[in-house]
Amino acid sequence: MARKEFETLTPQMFYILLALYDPLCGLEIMEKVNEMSEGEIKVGAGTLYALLPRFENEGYIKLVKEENKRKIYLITNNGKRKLELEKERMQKQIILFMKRDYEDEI
Amino acid sequence: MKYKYTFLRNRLYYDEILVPYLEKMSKKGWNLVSINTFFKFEKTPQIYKYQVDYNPLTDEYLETLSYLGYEHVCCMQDMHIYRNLDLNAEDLSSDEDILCETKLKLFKPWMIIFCLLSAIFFFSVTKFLSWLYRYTWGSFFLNIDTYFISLMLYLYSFLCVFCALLIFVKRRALKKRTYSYQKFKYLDGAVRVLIDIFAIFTIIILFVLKMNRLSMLLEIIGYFIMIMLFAKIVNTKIPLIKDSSKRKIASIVAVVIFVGVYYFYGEIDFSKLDKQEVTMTLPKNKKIDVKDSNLLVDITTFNQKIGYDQEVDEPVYSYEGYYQCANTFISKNIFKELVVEREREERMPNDEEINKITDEKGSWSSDEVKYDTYQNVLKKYKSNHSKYFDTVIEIGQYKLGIKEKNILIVYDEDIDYFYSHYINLIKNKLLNLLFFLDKIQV
Repeated sequence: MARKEFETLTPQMFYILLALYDPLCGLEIMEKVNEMSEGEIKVGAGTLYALLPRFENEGYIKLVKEENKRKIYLITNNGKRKLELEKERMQKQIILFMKRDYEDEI
Repeated sequence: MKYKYTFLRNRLYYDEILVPYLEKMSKKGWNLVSINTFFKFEKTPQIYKYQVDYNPLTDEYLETLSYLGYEHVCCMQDMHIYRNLDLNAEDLSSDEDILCETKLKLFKPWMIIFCLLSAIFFFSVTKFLSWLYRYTWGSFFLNIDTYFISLMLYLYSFLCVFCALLIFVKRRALKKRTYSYQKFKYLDGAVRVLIDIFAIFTIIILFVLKMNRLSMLLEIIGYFIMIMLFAKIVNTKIPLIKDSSKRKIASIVAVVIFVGVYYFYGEIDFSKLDKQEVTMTLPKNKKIDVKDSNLLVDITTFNQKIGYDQEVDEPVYSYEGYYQCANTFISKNIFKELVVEREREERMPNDEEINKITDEKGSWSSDEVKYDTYQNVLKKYKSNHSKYFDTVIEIGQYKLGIKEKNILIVYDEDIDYFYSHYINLIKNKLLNLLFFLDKIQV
């Protein structure tokens, strides 16, 4: 069953939003994500260019300028809030896991 | 440059089938050039990695892809094909979920409604055409074109319903992320088979039935070429425009031009290619009309003005004709149908009587006058003696005669006299000479 769009963020979505704390264009986002995840997460060009307009519609990112026909995006406060929610969700998961781990040790 | 064409089958829209196919062809030395009615490949030595993508084209996107080594090959509507010399390059799509969402845009909801409306439209045309023929052999042979066109429209409306169902089911599968070739190959295969049957059927109708009418054939071929050109431009050229608003304008312009060309093409008169009308001094100065023919029956009609209808301000012509049939089975059945039709016309009330009936009952429709059987009509109207014809039946002012494969209907004439006069002219080929003379005069 498909999850509702942006209900939870996939790792790729998470890294893209994180990368956009700095204003970047398409190709730069791909390179930054690769760098941040130490090569673990790779965003395909097709996926990235399909996601960017959707993020913009949801209000997670905004277009700050257009240079040489390249669109440069930056994360919005809404986007930062979304990342914050994701962080909390992931922390909850980690805590539950660590609790289990601790109980097992005992 | 060597080119190869292959059938599309159901490789389109199933990336898991299309990409391996293109890569397999590339290894054999054939690289994709374009996709339209067929796949077109050219013989080049390079081996490429192929990717399918559904994002609209923008300068930035193409620049990014080009940086990664991807080159745009061709497109079909919103589907774009890219190739890369680097066989180990990263795939364009890294998220199946996002890809399904993008693919959903290929199957828009309004397409379902459009298909269903088309089905209703074609079905209602068949209903409209159905009053032109009856379910008898005679009616079939006389109206063979209408029968086949009706059948074609039935098939077409069924196909539209099937397509609407297919789009609906595909959309649901994409939303549930269960869209795959395995799931849909039978459904897609069935649609493809239906389309092939339909195409073959249409070609049969055009070439076999309209063999003698060059004008009709040329007209239809022209429309076909126009539609194919329009489809090619909309599917393969317009998606290449990078600005989305420019793309919309281009689509609208293409539609307007197409409608304009379609209209003006319809205004062209191709009938000059068919044989011309000729006025001959037959009994009572009848005009011979253009031959109406299909493989089974050749019909020559004779127009004779017998009156004038004040209400519609038009002359009234008699219904006369010479039918040359392929065999006696056809001629016998056509004769029965013509006799039965003529007998029903005799019983048809005139306008005054119709007015009386509507005053009494409130409404009247021609369906209320039923067809009698051939046997009953024979009993009512005895057959006359004739020199040439095996059977001659006189109904009102009309005489209908049949001899083996030929049938003649005349109005207010002696049938033998008319037959000998007309047939002699045909035999002496004066008719051909007069056609020729008429063309020179015109």
